Amino acid sequence: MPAPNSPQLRFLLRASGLFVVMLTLWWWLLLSPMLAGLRFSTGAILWMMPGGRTASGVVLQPDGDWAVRVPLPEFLVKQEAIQRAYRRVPGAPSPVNVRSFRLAIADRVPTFFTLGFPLFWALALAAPLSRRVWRVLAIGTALLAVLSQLSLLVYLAYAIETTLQLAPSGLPAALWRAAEYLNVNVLPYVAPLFLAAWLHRDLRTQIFSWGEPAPVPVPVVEEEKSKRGRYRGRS
Amino acid sequence: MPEVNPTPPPVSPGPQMRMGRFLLIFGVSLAVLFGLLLAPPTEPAVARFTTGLVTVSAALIRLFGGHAVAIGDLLQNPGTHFAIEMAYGCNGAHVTILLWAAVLAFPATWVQKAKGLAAGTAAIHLVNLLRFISLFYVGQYSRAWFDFAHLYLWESLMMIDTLVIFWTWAHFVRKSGRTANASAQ
Repeated sequence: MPAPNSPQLRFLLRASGLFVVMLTLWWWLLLSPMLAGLRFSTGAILWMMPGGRTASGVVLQPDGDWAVRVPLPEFLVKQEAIQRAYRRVPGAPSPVNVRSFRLAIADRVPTFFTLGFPLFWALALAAPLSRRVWRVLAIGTALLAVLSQLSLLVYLAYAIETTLQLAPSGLPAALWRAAEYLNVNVLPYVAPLFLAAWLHRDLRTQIFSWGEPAPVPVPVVEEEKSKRGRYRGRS
Repeated sequence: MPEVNPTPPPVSPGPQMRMGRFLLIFGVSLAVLFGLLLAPPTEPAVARFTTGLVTVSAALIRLFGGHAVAIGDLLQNPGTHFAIEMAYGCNGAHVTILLWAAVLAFPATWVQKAKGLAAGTAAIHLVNLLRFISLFYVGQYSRAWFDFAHLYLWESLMMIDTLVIFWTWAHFVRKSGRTANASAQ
């Protein structure tokens, strides 16, 4: 256990307190614009995909869930698994024409991918304050924005794959499942921690203390002597 | 005019090398440990561990005068029949793996690492029990608050705790190293 008033205990209390504040701020003020931004960027990415100009989009449902229309590239549509999923009649001369895949995402999924922001801000601000902290906050926030977008795209790809049963069996399927598990259950919590330790030099130095100068011995005896001298002088 | 040295003094590669080594071992340990966690042969062991945690939670609640029974991985209030399930990711395994990977990667003796793994794991699961029991009560009060505390609040606080547990252990390792160096001089 950290001793009272140790840097570890101070950091724990500051980071936990700041996290509660940031989480409240995120939940009441920032979540809505963040989700709107994520919806917009996801829509833009889907639009840029092959076939996306005619068959793509992200629509907010009245219950808060997202309806995502993902364009399916032609090479994918021709695959047997997709043709089977869309009930192509065996022996039919022409393949079933599929342009996009419509997917409903519960609102908590994209919300979850933005959880890293308040955790990262709390960790960065709980570390020793310096002028660099604003730079750390800006870079970390930008990287987390990219990461949340990537996580959502991986989630979409996995949802399509499991619905259409496209993945091969064996090791690739197991690795793909593991990647999705980590993407949803681990990455949103771990990424802010890594980013804070990577970007915040003071925090990293405090935790690892690699390369710090050797501790200077405190001149206890001399200090006591000087105090005694002062007292003698006064008396 | 002061003399200007055109070549800067060589920077010691020590800390960078150590950080590189730490990151390498940390990454490999993470991959191996998460691979083990998600491998089908370890599922029964993880399930038994989860059931054990629920049993301990129920016992702790009863010890302090509350009402709870453990039914497999479910913690239930026998009066209201409200129950919560300790799912695969809720048993503290993720943060334990993070701590183990960090402790294994940090330069320390094997005895220090063993102590760090044991004490750190105990500390994490103590906090996790507190988390699970608090969620049991919050869930009986409000479903919305339960979801918020479960998904957003507690998991992140567990991450902060894990970082601080590792930091505290690393601090003691460095301190004991300095003491050993000082006594050797």
